[in-house]
Amino acid sequence: MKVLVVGGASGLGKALVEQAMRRGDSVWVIDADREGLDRLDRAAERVLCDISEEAAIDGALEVLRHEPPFDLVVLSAGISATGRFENMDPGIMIRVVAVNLVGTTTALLKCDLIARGGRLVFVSSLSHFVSYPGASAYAASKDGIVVFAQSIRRAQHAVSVQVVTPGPMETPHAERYSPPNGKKGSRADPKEIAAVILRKTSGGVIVPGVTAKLAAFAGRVAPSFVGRMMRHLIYARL
Amino acid sequence: MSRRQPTVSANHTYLVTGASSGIGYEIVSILAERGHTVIATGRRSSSALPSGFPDVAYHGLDMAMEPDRARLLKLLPTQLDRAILCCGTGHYRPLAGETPADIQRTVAVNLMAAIHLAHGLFPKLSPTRGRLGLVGSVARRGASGMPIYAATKGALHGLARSLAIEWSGLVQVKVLHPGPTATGMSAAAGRPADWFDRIMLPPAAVGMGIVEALERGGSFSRTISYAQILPRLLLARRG
Repeated sequence: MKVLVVGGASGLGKALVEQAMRRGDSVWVIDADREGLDRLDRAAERVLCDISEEAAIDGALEVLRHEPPFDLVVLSAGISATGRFENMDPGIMIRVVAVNLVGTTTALLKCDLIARGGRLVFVSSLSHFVSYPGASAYAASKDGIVVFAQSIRRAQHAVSVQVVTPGPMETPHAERYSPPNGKKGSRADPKEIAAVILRKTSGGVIVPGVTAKLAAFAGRVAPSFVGRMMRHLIYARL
Repeated sequence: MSRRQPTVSANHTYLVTGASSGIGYEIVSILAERGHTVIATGRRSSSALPSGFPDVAYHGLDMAMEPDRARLLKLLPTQLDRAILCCGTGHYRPLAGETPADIQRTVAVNLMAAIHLAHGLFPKLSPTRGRLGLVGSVARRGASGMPIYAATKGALHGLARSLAIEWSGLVQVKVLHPGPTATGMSAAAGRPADWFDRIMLPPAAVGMGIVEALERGGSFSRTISYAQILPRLLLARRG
């Protein structure tokens, strides 16, 4: 199997790269983090690219277009910005949207590299179900990703389109953006989420793990209660 | 039509973006007629405004452009009661028909502007316990004919949901999702005209629905649909 992981140099993307390689897939990785790419297994094909820059995507395509199409493409590149909305630099919040939403959709527009019968997986967030006060721009971008995936699914007949909504994971991303005294034990292991992504070949929206499933259910049936919980658990600690 | 009754409510100061046409234009007309103070902005220059445009402060600015947004925030008064962000753009076409420049522009107008303006409006709206209305779309649940537009409206919904929690007790944040409205946006977006255009919502009624939904309590999100505006339409016909 041929796998492409966009944002594969750290966190969930890296866990995916490692597991796919372990099961014998040939793996390509795109990431903006040069050092992160250097630390990956040498057998993975690595392409340095910041998906928020159109020219960089074109450069990466020069490398990728000669490869036969991929059976699985995971779009996992993303950044966040946490803090009280009014106290944050709006430029940084706009950058979150530029990477997570513009970058992801533009990369997909330019890289039509998925084989017939292949899978395209977007990485959104549990915030789609439970909100994320303290990272409102991030939550916006990740809701945009879910809706984008739902929108293109109907037009994609040869490729199955999925979107995964993980809760907090034990990753550098979470380390960077969570409240300083957040409980580490409650974060999921990215290896488990990666395993779910590789295993679940059917279903549109994938909520990985029991905790995330419960939270998503609660967010659907009691949105305002869960909103208050999120305010108390996350926003009040920022 | 007797749809606009003079109201006894206080005079409020409103900011309305996307005011030079469509729903934004209707909202400005309603607010001006009700005697509110309105600061309007749109992409057209003042000289290119429709002839019936009410006599309110108007600034021709492009909300896709960061410097224009910064300029708008600078020229606004220190306090506002209401802000309704109507500016929006999009194309009716599948992803394969999009271009990187159009994706950037659609996301900039529909989402980045909302983030930038919401941030800059907080110090103006919070002293008055003001309200911020983001105009979304029913496409926010997904629309295969316009995935980028739908994504930005879904994102606006998510922005309002989290921001309403962040600002609870300070500034009321609401996202108001009109159904397909007969504003000409559909044709401008490249959607072929068909029978559906005839059953689109009338823009004036949608504008009224948005102005009123922003004043209500309850959920951060409201849909402006026929079910909501039909009673008023029938009454207006009779009157």
